[in-house]
Amino acid sequence: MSSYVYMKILESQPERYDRGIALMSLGGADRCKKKLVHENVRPGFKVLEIGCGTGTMAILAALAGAEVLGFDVSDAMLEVARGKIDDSGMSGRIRLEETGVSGMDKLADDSFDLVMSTLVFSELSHDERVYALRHAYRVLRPGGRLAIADEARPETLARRLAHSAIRIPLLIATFVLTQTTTRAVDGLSDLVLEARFRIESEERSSLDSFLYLVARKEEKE
Amino acid sequence: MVLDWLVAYLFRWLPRSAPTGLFAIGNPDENSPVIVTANFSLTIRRLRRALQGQNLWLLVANSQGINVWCAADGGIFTDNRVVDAIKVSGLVDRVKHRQVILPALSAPGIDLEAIRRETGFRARFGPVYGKDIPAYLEGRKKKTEAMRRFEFGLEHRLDMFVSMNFPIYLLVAAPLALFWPQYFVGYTILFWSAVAFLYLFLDQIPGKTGWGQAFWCATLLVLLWAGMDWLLRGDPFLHWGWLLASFGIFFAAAFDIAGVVSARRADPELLMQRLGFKSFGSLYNDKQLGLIGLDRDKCNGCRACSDICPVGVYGELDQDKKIAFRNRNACFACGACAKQCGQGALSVA
Ligand SMILES: C[S@@+](CC[C@H](N)C(=O)[O-])C[C@H]1O[C@@H](n2cnc3c(N)ncnc32)[C@H](O)[C@@H]1O
Ligand code: SF4
Ligand code: SF4
Repeated sequence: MSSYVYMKILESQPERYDRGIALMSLGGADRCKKKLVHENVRPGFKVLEIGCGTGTMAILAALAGAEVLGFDVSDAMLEVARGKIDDSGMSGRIRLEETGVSGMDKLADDSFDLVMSTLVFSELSHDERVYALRHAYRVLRPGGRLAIADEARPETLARRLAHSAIRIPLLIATFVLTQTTTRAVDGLSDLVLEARFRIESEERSSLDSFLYLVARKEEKE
Repeated sequence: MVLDWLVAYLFRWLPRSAPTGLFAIGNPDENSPVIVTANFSLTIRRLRRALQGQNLWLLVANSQGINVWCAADGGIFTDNRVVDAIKVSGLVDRVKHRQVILPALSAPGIDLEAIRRETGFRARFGPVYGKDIPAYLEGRKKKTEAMRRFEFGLEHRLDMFVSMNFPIYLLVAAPLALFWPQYFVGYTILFWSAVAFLYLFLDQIPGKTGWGQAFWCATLLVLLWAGMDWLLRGDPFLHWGWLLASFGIFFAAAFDIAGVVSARRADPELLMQRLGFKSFGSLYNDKQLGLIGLDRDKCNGCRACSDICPVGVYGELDQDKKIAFRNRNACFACGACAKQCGQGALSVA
């Protein structure tokens, strides 16, 4: 089969995902998930995670007392997640579903306290982002929050260059080792506003390359 | 534009995304057919060219910029992605019918029933190549034998010739150009002639494995070269560096040549198997080698397998109305038929 080897590498990618992402973000991805959960999850919250991948953040949220529904388009990623969730003893609090963003249309209105997602919007195409944000707004209860962390492109040229200088070698090394890549989200806050959210905070970190955005669905319109 | 194409072409190993969503080709209306594909930029470019003059909808699903076949086999271009594309694009409101046509090579990753259940659309596999789509639509969606087959013809080889080898070439050519420019031209000529020779004559070169074939070629070249130097200059090892380089180049070019050029099993995998490795990290595992096997009791003769196999492994039904193999050894374990068999009668073992 043509480029057989390449294909085999892709097939086995989920098992190496956690290692890859830790390497690529120099540990930043985990720190970021902890921060996101710490600042937004309260005991008893119902939480929806978009693209939960290998389940790291869902477990953190469950440990913080939330009830989590996580979905992901890749059953191989979910397979890894299942193993990790069993090990963490949190399987009673986490439900997983295999679906892409379009499965969000089955979720009830106003039924979640928090919608969270890390490193997923950068993988979505424009129309998928719009769709996911529209339904995130719909399924959140009034006053509920949307929290997203993702790769972003630094805003000034100088920082962009500095960022590329670090990122490109890291990116190549990571891709070779794990076939994990991420791409930047640009203009995400505009889309969040268009979906009728009110942005509460927008932080950028480590050379501006990481975006952490928290938005709220207004109590009453 | 041209530069963009060149980069996409020369580095086709790397993912390159094209925009997703629903696109009009020509002037489609609510009765026009819907063709689905993945968002690998090179594919989209070719498909658009092949579809010129047609009136239809092109629905591009998100495969993260990876081509249909690799993404389908790698679990990235799956029925979930097609469902996302159909629902997110709002296709229901654009067409009256409920049918979509998928690329045949997406079969290893696609559960047709799941697409119908989630979207109400009936999906079916069209031809392997976009260029056959006009004829396929014209012929009321009947596939000819040729439309089912993957072609290891001249065009495919030429494609692979350039794009598979360019990164390998660059790996050595770049440092040479920078630090040892005097060797650059020689290396360039040697590399591309060796690769061209292998790609053109692979089927005529004796030897069972790609590596074996490359070894014979390299040996022949080295003998000729050393012989000439001996005769003309009195020293067979005059160009010893180049003689060594010839072996290196032939091997690099032949790394996966059996798989790429003639759909045989990849040499690196065969070696692992022979060495007794059951798995190697997560790069390789023994299960995925081997040939397709049929559990005759389960087969109901639906022929889904023979419809989708890209290399013609299947023949007709036998007297018990069970599918029969025509050329089982051609199987290269892509998994398409096993995924499509509704009876679970097929597995790669
Ligand atoms: C880079 S991983 C991030 C995983 C996890 N959220 C984390 O931060 O570690 C991106 C994940 O998004 C998922 N994904 C990509 N496109 C998706 C879609 N359309 N719907 C749902 N999940 C998607 C992928 O399967 C993958 O697990
Ligand atoms: S797809 Fe399965 S059931 Fe149908 S003919 Fe092939 S082996 Fe038999
Ligand atoms: S018989 Fe082999 S090559 Fe043909 S579809 Fe099945 S697995 Fe693929």
